[in-house]
Amino acid sequence: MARGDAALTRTLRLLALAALPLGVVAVFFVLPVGAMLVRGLAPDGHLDPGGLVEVLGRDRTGRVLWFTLWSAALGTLLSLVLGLPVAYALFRVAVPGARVLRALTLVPFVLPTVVVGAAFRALLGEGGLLGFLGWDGTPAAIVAALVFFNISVVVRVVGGAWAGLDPRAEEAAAALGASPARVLLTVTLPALRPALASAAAVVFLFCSTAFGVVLTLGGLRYATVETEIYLLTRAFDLPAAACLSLVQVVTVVALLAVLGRLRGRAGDAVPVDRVPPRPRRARRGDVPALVVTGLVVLATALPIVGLAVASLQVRGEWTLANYRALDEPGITTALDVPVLTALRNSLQVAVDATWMALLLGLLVALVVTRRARSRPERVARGLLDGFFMLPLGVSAVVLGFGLLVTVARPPLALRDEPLLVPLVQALVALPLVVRTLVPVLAGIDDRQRQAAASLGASPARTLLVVDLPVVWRPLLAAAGFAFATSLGEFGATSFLSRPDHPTLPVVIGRLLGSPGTTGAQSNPGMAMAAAVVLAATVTAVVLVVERLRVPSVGAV
Amino acid sequence: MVEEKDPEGGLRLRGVTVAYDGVPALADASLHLPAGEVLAVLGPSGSGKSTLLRAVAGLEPLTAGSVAFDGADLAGVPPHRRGFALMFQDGQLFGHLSVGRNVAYPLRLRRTPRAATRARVGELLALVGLDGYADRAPGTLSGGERQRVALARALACAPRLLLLDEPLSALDRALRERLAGDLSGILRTAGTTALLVTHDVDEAYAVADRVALVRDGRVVQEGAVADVDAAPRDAAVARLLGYPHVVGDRAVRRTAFTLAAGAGGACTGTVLHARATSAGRRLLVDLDGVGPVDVVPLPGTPEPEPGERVEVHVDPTGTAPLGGPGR
Repeated sequence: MARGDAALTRTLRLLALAALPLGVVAVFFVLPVGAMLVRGLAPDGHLDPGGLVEVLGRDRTGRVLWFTLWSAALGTLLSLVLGLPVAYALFRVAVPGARVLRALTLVPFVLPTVVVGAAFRALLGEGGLLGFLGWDGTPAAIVAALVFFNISVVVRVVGGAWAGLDPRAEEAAAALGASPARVLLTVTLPALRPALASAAAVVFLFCSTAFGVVLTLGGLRYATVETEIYLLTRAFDLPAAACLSLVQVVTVVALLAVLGRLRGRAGDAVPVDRVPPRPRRARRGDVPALVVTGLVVLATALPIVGLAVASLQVRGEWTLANYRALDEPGITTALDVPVLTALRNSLQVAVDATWMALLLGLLVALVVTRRARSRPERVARGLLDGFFMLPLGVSAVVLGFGLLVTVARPPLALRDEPLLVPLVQALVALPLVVRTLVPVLAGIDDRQRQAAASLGASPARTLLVVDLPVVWRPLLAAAGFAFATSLGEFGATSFLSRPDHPTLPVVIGRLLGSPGTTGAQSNPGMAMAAAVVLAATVTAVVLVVERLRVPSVGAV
Repeated sequence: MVEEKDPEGGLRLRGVTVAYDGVPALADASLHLPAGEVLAVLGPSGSGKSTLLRAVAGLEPLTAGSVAFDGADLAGVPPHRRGFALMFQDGQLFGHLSVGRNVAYPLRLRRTPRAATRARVGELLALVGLDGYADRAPGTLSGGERQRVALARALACAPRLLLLDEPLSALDRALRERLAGDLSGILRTAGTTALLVTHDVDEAYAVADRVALVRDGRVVQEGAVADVDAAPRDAAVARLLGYPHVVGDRAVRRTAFTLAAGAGGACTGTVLHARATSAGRRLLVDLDGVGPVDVVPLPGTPEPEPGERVEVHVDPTGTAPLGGPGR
């Protein structure tokens, strides 16, 4: 009897904790995405499989799917090949300034996609530093931008695992007669396999759902599923957009399932008190890895430098006019408000998005990491874990448009609600927040909580004494990431932000979309200047986060 | 014809110094390990003994000195070309390979034919008492089994020198004692030259012919096990060798104190209390000038009360004079 009561209490407590995030995700994620799917697939209220077949049979759909597939696969492969040596050099070898370099490799990942798109345009376009390559407007530019983004994911995920790898297994192999190359192939890489697979899956996910970069660099010619959904939605071909969304959702859910399987429970927990082995001094054998690292760091810096250069030029002349124009209202017809106002909006929105993402993420992480006492409970927690990962892969465009046609309309009519945009951005950031907190919370030995409880601590006090001291750093780091994600979010925000209250990425997108030079500045130049401001803001946030040295940040 | 040992045979360390960031972890260590013998390097944790082992394996660059094997200097020879094998405290089995493939790992590196590899793996697993374990995953093994697999893997290619880093320390006492006996037997059967690093004197004595004591990065005493045990150099060495007490100029084992019948004991002390131990009843006596020691009470006489003054006899077989030669 008492046992039944206890189980019931546990279930109720679990539900109570999960209620808020579940409700928010249901209303602001499942509802709009579902509405989009229904709208496209059953326009007249009943399912129309013929439409689905028709869309899938289109030439262009085939081309888009194929392009998405190969560009994402190539981007993933290159990110892995280039990211591995960097992960090794920055996490295993005592490189001077490794901490700063690690932080710098993280910057591209959190840069807003529009900014990266703009940066690559500036770099590869006519008169750009690498304009001679002739990559502007080609798939090469898109893949390069995808790799630029995702090397940091590989470096983070694999580097974190590599740093924690006990070097003695490799030493044992070496002493048994294995050359360094053999050690790498037969001991190190197999030991890193979970991290490699996890990184590959996540990078593929990011590559195949990339929006901002592909839209800026590919235009109409080279579309991925994500940008195609955007273009179709803009053209009000909702059935086609819904069909592609469905393809995307199914793919993403399958990928997430594979990812969950690969990660397993054991791979989730980072033992809290483990001291990683000291990086060792560089040896002659490390030279190739160090050279690749140097090249990657340089290549990573190039687009950012190109961006800065472009922002300082108008018609080939060096000038600060683009920056001065940021604060002038009505300087271009493309904008309703000055760029600096948009920056202020962005910061305000980011603050709101951050606390929302943290609140939801913390609740989810707590629910997911508490030790399950029964099989159904374990299954339920596993499903919840996967459920909250969904925003990671579902098209932000679908989400944004879906919100526009559901919660922005009566009976909810939340369009003018100032908290709508931050809430949606918080949902986009939620998976990252959860993934930052879960490994740390899962790594706390449950016996510590039991010890605290046996000493008379109430559940709330246990949380305060055991969990909080361990989790506050990751929590701050997650806050930084949520903040950066929000600052850079473009896909969903571009649908939802009101014209009189745009965020900075939206403004940049608009400036890039209306090229023209009026007076002292130029619209693209202003976009570059705004992008530099945005990049600087985000970088500052990331550098602060990096100072917290959370081991698993970015380990999705 | 009398077989003469090559004076330069086996492992020789001359003035080996290893420093981390300028702080020496091992200073001016010189050792000689003749071929076919087992040398235990004994020292407390942080004494530099593991550094010594890693230097021999080629895993730590030397700041000064030289490591030579069979007369050939090993400077510049990377670990995988030294023909040694290294076995760690926790085995360091490769988790993604089965037990059989772990043992076969060094054989495969040398491109041994498949049939020969299989036969050798079976032979090695039998040697370490793990017949039929070839298909098991390392994760399913107990600590002792894992160490046995690690030993089989290390022996697979008949290394010129086997390096053992606290091979038994992670195991529980009973298992440790049994495995120490097995290890000693296996090394002797194979005639393996081995360097063992440990902080446990029982492990060292059970396996090794010679012992070198390391403290604060320096080799403080070296010699045959019996010689070193019979004459520890100083009180600190004596403590490492299992003599926790010093009475006068002699090191005394924990078990060497018995209650003297009447007067005539070597020393005097005050009874603190009596207690039961796994070896029988013991009196804790605060020995004058020595401190609290366990004393075996006299059988068949009433036990002295706490606070009583007693005379204590020291069994000479449980003592050793301090001041033995350094090496």
